Amino acid sequence: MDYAWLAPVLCAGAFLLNVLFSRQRGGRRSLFGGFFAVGAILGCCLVFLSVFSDALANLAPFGGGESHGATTPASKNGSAAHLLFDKVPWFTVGDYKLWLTMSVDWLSIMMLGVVSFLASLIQIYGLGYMMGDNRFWWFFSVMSLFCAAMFTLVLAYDFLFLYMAWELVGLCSFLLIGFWHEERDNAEAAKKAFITTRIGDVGFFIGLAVLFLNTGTFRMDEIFAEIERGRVDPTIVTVAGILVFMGAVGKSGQVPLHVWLPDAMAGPTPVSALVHSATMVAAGVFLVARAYPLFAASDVTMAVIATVGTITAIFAATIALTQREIKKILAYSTVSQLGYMIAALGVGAYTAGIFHLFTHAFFKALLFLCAGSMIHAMEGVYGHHDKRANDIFNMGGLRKRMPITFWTFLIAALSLAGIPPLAGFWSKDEILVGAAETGNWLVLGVLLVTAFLTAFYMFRAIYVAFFGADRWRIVAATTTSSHEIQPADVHEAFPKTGDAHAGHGAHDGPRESPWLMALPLVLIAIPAIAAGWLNIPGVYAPFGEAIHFGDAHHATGINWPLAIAGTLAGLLGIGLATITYWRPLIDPSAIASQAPPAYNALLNKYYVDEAYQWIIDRIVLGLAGLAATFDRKVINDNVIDRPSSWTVAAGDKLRYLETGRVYHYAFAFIVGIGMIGVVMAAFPNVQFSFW
Amino acid sequence: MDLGAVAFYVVATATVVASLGVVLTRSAVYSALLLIASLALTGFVYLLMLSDFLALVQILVYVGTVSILLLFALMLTRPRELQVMNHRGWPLAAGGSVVALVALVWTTVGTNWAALTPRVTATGPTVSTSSSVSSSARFAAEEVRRFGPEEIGTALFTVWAVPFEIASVVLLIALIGSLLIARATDLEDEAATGTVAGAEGGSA
Amino acid sequence: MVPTEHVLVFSAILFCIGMYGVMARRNGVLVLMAIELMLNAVAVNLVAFSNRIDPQGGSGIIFAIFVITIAAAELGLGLAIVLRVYRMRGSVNVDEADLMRW
Repeated sequence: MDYAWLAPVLCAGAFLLNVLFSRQRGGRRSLFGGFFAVGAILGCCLVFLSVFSDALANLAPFGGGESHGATTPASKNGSAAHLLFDKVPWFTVGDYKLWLTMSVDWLSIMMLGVVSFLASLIQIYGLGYMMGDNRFWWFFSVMSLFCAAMFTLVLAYDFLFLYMAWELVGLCSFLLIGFWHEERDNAEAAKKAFITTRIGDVGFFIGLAVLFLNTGTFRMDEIFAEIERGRVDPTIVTVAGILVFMGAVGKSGQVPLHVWLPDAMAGPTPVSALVHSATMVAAGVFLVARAYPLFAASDVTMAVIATVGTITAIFAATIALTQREIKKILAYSTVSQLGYMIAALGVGAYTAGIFHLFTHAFFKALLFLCAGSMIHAMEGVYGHHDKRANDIFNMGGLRKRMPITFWTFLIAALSLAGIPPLAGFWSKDEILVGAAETGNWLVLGVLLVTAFLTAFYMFRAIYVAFFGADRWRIVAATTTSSHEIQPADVHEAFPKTGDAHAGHGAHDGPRESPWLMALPLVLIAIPAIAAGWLNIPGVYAPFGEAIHFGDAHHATGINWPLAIAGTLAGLLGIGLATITYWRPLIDPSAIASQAPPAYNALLNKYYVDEAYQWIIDRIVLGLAGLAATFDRKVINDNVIDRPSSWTVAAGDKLRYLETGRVYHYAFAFIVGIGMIGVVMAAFPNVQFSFW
Repeated sequence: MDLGAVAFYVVATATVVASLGVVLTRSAVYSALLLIASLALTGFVYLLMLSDFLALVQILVYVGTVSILLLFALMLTRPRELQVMNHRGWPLAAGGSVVALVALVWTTVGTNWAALTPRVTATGPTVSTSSSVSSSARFAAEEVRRFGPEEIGTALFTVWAVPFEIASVVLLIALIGSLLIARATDLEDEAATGTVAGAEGGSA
Repeated sequence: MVPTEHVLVFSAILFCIGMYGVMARRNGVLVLMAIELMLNAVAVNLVAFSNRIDPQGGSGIIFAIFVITIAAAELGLGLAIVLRVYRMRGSVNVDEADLMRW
C-alpha cells in the first residue's frame, strides 16, 4: 500500500518520456508513440493489484490492525485510511505552511482500480483507433498525463493537492477534446469545456479558501474534525459546502454547468470513453464523496445536492430522447447518470452513489467504445471525419455486420437500463432504496421516470442503429459529404492511412473493428455484467462494507418492491422503444409534430446554450466594454496622459536653461556656491556635513 | 610697521593691479604678459610669507611654463580679425563679482581671529602661543618655521607621500590626455583655417 | 607682520577678479588665464591659513604645491581642448561653441 504513489509517478514518467522521445517515428502504421503510455498504465494495473491485495490483508474492515507502524487516522468516511506520506512540506507563506498529503483508503483503491483497468483497455483501444494520426504520440502523452493527474486526485488527502490534480485533469481534458484543433468546432468545444469547468472550479477554490480561513488547514481529516467538534460556524459550513459542491457541478456536468459535456464529444472516442464518461466526470462525484462530512454536516447543502442531481438526471434524459448523434445520446446519458449519483449522495445514500459510479464507469466506457467502433465503421462508408458517420439514422442493420460491437453494446445498454442481473440493476436499485429510506419520495419518483426514459432512448439508439434496413446505402448515395469546413487543407490535417477519399467501402459496407479495438470491448463487458455482484444486499456486499459513511449500513435483504419497480421502469422503456422503432406501431414523428414547442425545446437542449451566449454577449461583454471605456477615457487620459503632458510642458520650458554657453554655466556654478555660502553663514551653529 | 609688512602691502597692491589688467585689457597678449607679472608678484608674496620653496615653485611652474604655454596657445589661435574681448553681459559678471567680494570680505572681517589657535600637525608639535597671542594675531618670524626645500621634501615624502604619488599619476594622465586631444587628424586639417597641422600626419 | 585677515582679503580680491574674468571674457584662452588667477588666489589663501594655524607643520604650503601642480596639469588639458576646438571650428570664441543649445 505504501507504493500507491507509484501509479501517478509511472504515468507522469510516461508522459515525459513520450514527449521527449516519441515524436512520430516509423511509418504511418507505427504504434511507437504509444508504448510508454500503455506500458505505464499496465504498470499501474500491477500497482493497483498489489495495493489491493495488501489492503485486503491490512486495511479495515477486511484486514487486521495496522502492522506497518503507520498511523490509521480517524478516517473521514468512517472507513480506515492508510497514510502514504504525511505532510510533505510544500512551501511557507508568512505564518502558513502548506503541506501535501496522500492516503489510501477503500474509496481510493476502488478508483485506482477503475481508472487503471479502464485506462489500460481504452489506451489499447486507442492504439487501433488513432492509428495513422498525425499526432499519435501526443495523444498518448496527454492520456498518460491525465492518468497521472487522476491517480493523484484519488490519492490526495488534502484539498490543495486534490485541487491541483483537479485542475490538471481539467487541462488534460481540454487538450484531449481539442485534439483535432485544426477544425474550429473542436477548439471551441475544448474552450467551452475548460471555461465551464473553470466556473465551477472558482467556486471550489473559494470554498477551500473559506474552509482554510476557518480551520487553518487544508487537510481533510483536520477539517472534518473541526467541523465535527462544532468549531466552525454552521453558516460557514453550509456556504463552504455549496461552494465546494460547485466544483463538482462543473466537473460532473450538473445543471447548469452541463453544457460542455455534449460538446466534448468532439474529441476522439477513446477520450470520450475514458475521460468524459468514466473517470474525469466521476471526479466530481468523487469529490462529493471525499468531502462528505462537510456536506453531511449541513442539511441545506444536502438538499441542494440532491436537488441538483435529480434535476440533472431528468433534464438530460429528456434531451437524450431527441438526439441523433450516437455520442451525443451517450453524453446526455452520462450527464443523467451523474445526476443519479449526485442525487444519491444528496439524499444520504453514500454507498449507493459510489457504487453507481463504479458500475457506470464500466458500462458507459463500454458504450462509448462501441460507439467509437460504430463510427469507425461508418467512416469507412462515408469518409473520415465525416459528420454523417455519427448520426444513428445514417446507420442501420449493423447487427449482422458487427456482431461483437452489437452484443457488447446490448449488454451495456441493458446494464444501463437496470435490468437484473446485470451490474446497473444493482447500483440503480441501491439508489432507489436510499431515496426511499430517507423519505425523499419526490426524488424517488423522478428517478424512476428517468430510469424509464433512459431505457427508452438507449434502445431507440439500438434499434435505429443496429436493426432495420441498411439505411447507410441510401444515405451514402444521396447525400454529399458533410465536413463542416471545406478548405482542402483540412484533409491534410487528418492524414489517416493513405485513404484520403470518401466512401470507399460504400459497396462493402461497414465492417467489424480490428481486434485491437474489439478485444477491449469484450474485456470491459465482463465487469459491465458482473460488477454489480460486489454489493448484493444481504448476500455478498464487500463493497458496501468497505465504502460507507458513518456506521456500516448492513441491508438485510433486497427491497423487493423497489427492485421490481425499477426493473419495470426499465422494461417499459425497452418495450416502448421496441414498438416505436422496431415494429413501428407508433410513429415518433407524429408525436413530435403534435407538440412542436416541446419537441423543439428538447431538440435544442432547452436553449441553455443560447441563453448562455446571450448572457455573455450582452452582459459580460457589455460590462467589459464599459470597463474598457472607463479605463481608456477616465484613467488613461486623466491619470496617465495628463501628468505626462505636464512633464513635457515643464521640459519644454526648462530647456531654455541650456544655453550652450559656458560662461552662463560658470555663472550658475558660482551663484550656486554663493548660495551655499549664504546658507552656511545663516546657520552658524549647524554642523554641515558634506559626506 | 616693519619693512616686511610694508613690502607686503606694496606687492599686494601691484598684484591686484596686474590682475585687473589681465581681465580688463583689450589685447590678448597684454593679458598674458600681465598674467606673468601677477603670478611673479604672487611668488614674491610667498617669499614674504617665509615659504621660499613655494616661491621658487611658483616662478618655475607658473611663470616659466604656464605663461609660455598660454602665449603659445594665443599665438596658435590668432583671430582673423580683431575680436571684442568681453561679452555682452559683462556688467552682470562685474556685479556678481563685486557681490561675491563683499561677501567674502565681510565674512573674513567678521570672524573672531583671536579665538583661532594653532594646532598640532603630523610633522611635529607646534608652539602653543594661544595665551600670548594679541587681539589680531600676528605671525612673527620666530613663530613660523621656514619652509625650505629640506622641510618640504621631508614632508612630501613622509607625511604627504600618497597625495604626492597621486599627483604624479594625475600629471601623467594630463600629459597623455592632452597629447590625445590635441593630436592632429585628417578631418581637422580640412577644417583648420590657415593652420598647418602637426607633422605627424593622419591618425595612427 | 601682517594680520591674517589682510592676506585673506587680498586673496579674495584676486579670486573675484579671476571670477569676473571667467564670466566676462570671450576668448577661451583668456578664460583659462582667469582660471589660473583664481587658482593662484586659492594658493595664497592656503598659505596664509597655514601660517596662522599650522606654523610648524606647513601643511597649507604643501597643499599649495599640489594646487599649483594640478593647476598646471589642468591648464595643459584645457589648452589642448581649446586648440582642438579651434581646429574644428576655426575660432576660440566661447559664444560660438553652443551646439548644446536648446
